[in-house]
Amino acid sequence: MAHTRENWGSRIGVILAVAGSAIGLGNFLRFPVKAALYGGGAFLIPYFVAFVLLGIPLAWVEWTLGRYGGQFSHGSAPGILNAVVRRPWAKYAGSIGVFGPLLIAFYYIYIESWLLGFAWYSITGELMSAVNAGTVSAFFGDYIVLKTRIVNAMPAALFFFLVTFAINFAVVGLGVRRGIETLNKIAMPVILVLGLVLLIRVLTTPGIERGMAFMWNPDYSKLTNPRVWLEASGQIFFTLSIGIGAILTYASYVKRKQDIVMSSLTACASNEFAEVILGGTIVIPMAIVVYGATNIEEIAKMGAFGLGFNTMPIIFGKMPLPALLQTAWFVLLFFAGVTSSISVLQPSISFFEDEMKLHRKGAVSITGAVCLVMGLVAVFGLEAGAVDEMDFWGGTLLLVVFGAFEAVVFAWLFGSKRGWKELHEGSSIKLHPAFRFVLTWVTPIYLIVLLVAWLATDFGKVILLQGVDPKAGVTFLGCVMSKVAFIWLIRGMLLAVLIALNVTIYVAWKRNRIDARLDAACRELGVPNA
Amino acid sequence: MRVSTPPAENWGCPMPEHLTIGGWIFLCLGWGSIGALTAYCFRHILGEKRDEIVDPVPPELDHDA
Repeated sequence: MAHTRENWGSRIGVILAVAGSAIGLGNFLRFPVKAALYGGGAFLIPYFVAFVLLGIPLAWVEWTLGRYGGQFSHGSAPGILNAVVRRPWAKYAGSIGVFGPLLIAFYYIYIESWLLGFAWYSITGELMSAVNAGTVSAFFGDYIVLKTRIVNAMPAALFFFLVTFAINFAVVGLGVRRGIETLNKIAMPVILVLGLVLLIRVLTTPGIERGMAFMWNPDYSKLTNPRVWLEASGQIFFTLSIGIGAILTYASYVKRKQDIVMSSLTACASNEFAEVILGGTIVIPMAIVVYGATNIEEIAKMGAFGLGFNTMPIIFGKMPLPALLQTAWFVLLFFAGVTSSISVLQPSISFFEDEMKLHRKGAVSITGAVCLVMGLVAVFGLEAGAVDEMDFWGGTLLLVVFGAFEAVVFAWLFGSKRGWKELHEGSSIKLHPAFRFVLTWVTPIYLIVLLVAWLATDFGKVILLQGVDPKAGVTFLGCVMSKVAFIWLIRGMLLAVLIALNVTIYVAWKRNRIDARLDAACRELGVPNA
Repeated sequence: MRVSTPPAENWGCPMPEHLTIGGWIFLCLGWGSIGALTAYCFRHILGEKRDEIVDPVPPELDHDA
C-alpha cells in the first residue's frame, strides 16, 4: 500500500506544536506550587541547573533522533530506535515511546474536559453562583465523580469528556499539517494573550507585593535538601514533555536540513516563558493576596487541582468582571491542555501509519477505540483511583525510564560524534563543545541517577502498594472490590495494552520484511508489484 | 502533565510583606533570563530569510514529492 509521510508546513508551525505539547496544566498549576514549597526564588537555582543540564539537552536528543528516524519514514519510537540502534530489541524497547503517551492520553483527555466544562459553567454563570454560595469545592467534587447532570440525564463530566474526545480526534484526524499545526497556530497565541491579560490583572491588584514576596523571596536553607533538587529535575522533565515520545514523533516530520538546534531551544524557551513568567505569577501570588498568608497551608493541601478549580474561581469571583476572568482562566487552561493531549495521541497514530502502513483514518480509528475504552475506565474509575494509577506509570515513571533510555541511546549507541553532527545538520548556530560533553556524559548519568532515586523513593510506596489500606474498598461500575484488587485490575489492563502493542510491533516488522523481499524480487524480475 | 498532588508538609516559607533584595534579584534574573532567551530565539527564527530556513530535501528523502 502506497504511503506518503507529511511534513510540517512551516518552521514556526513545528516550534509552536512542540511548545504547545510542553505547555500544559503543569506550567500554571504545578510549577508555582513546587516553587513556593521548595524555597521560593531559591528553587530557581536547581530548576535552571536542571533546565540546562537535563531539559535542553534531552530536547535536542529527541529532536535529533526524531528527525533522523523520519528520513527512514519512521515517526514513532519503535521505528526510530530500530533505525538508530539497528538491533532487534530496540523496536520493543521503543514500545514505551508509544505506550507512555497513549497511557497519558487515557486520563489526560478527561482532566482536560473538566476545563471545558468549567469554561462552560463560567459562561453560563453557574460557577459564579457556586462561588457566591460558598460551594465551589463541592461543585467541583460532584462534577468530577459524575454527580452533576446535564441534558438527557447524562453526567455533565461524561458529556464534556465525549466532546473533548471528539475535538482531539477531529484535530489529529486532519493530519499533522492541517490539524495539529493549524490548531497550535491558533491556540498558542490565544494562550499567550489570555496569559498576559491575567498577568496584567494580577500585577495591578493591590497588595500583590505580598504574594510576589511569598513566591520569590529565596529560602536558601531548602537548597541543602536533596529532595528539592529532585523535585526541580522532575518539574523540568514534566514541563518540557521530554521522555514521552511526543517530540520524537513531531521531529520526524521535520525536513532534513531544518535547524533543529534553534527550533528546540525556541520551543523550550516558550515553555519556560509560560511557566516561570505566567505560571509563577498568576496562581500563588493571587491566592496569597485574597486568602492571606495564614491560610496558605490550607490552600496548599488542596493541591494543584484545588488551586485551579476551587481557589482561582473564588479569587476571580472577588474581582470586577468575574465571569469573564473565570472564562479566560479555563479557556487558557483548556487550550494548554488540548495542545498537549493531541501530542500524546500522535505517536500511536504515526506508529500505525508508518509501521502498519494504515491510512490516517484507520490509524486514528484504532487509537481512538483504545483511548475511548481506557478513557471511560478513567472517567468511571476516577474515584476508585484509576487516574492516579495511570498517572504514576504514564506521567511519572515511564517518562524518566524512556528519557534515560533515549539519552543513553544517543550518547553511547548512536554515538556522540555522530549525534553531534546530526544535531547540527542545517543548524544556523554552532553550539559550544561543552554541550557535547553534557550530552555524552552529564545528561545520561543525571537521568540514571534520577531514575534510581525515583525508584528508591517510590518503588515500595507505589509499585508494591505499601501506602494502600488492604481493607479499603472501592466501587467500579457497580462492582464493589478492594482498592488493592482494583489497582491490580488497572495494571492488568495497562499490561494488556502494552503486550498488544508489542505483538503489533512483531507483526509489523515481520510483514514489512516480507513486503521488502517481495519488492526486491519484483524489481529483479522487472514486474510491477501489485 | 502530572496529576498527583504535591505534599504540603514542607509548606512553611516565611511570609514577608515585601520582596527582599534576594527576592528582587531572583525575580529579575528569572524573568530576565527567560524573557531574553525567548526574545533571542524568536528574533533568530523569525528574522531568518526564507531560503536559509529549509534547504531542498534530497529527492530520495522527500516523501511529499
